[in-house]
Amino acid sequence: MSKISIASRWIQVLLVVLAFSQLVTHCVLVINNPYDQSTRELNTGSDNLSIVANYDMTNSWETMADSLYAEGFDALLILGTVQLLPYLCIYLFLFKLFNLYRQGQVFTLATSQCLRNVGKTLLFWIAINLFYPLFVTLVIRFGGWSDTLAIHINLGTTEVYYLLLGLIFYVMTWVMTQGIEMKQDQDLVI
Amino acid sequence: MAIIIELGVMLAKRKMKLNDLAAAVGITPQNLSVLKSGRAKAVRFSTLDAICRTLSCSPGDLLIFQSEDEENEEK
Repeated sequence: MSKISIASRWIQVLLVVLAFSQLVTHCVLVINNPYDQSTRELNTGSDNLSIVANYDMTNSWETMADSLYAEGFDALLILGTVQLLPYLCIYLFLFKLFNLYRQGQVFTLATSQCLRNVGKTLLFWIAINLFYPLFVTLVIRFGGWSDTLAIHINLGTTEVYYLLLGLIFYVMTWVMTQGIEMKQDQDLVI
Repeated sequence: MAIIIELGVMLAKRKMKLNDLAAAVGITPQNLSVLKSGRAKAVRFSTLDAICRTLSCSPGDLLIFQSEDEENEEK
C-alpha cells in the first residue's frame, strides 16, 4: 500500500508540473503576440540564453490553425485555448484519482467515478474536435470577418484514438463498478 | 424482501445475548447484527448450521417466508 501511496504522490506532482507548464506556455504565447504563428513558436533570449516555447496543435486542427493564421486571426487564442481545456480536465480527474489512491481508496465508487470522468472528457473531446472548427468558421463567416475561410471538418486518427481511449476508460469503469458491487455483496454474506 | 429473519425472536426465546451467540457460532457480533437486522444478502449453510445447533432450533424457526400481500398488510 505504501508503494501505491508513494507512486501516487509522484504522479500527482508530475501532473501538477505538466498542467502548470502547459498553462504557462499557453499564456506566454497568447500574451506575447509577435510569436511565429506559422510554427506556433516563441524564440526569445540573448546570445547566451535562448528560450523556446512552442505549442502543438493536434493533427486535425493543424490545417484549421494554418487557415486562421492565413486570414490574420490568432489561431492559438481561438483554437489553442479550447484544446487546452480537456487536457486540464483530464489532469484534474487524474489528480483526484491518484489522491484517492494515496489515501488508500483503490477499489471504491469514487475512484471509478474519476475514471468515468476521464472517459467522458475524452468522448466529449471528440465532439469538440469535430464541431468546434466548424463553429469557429461559421462565426467568422457570418460575423463578416472573413468570406474566404474554408469550412474544416476533420475526422482522423486523433479522433479515433480518443474514441478508443474514452471507450476503454468507460468499460474499465463498468468492470470496476461491477467488481465493487460484487465485493459489497460478498461482505453481506454471513 | 420476502424472507424474514427471526433471529431476534429466537434469541429472546432462548434468553441469549447476540454477543454470546456470536462467540458460540464463531462469527463477529457485527456480522450477526447484519443478519439479525435483515441486511444480509445470503447466509452460508455452515453459519446456519452453527446458529441452529447453538439455539437448538431448525432453519424454519429462523427464516420465514412472507408473501408481498402479507408485507403490504403489515405496512
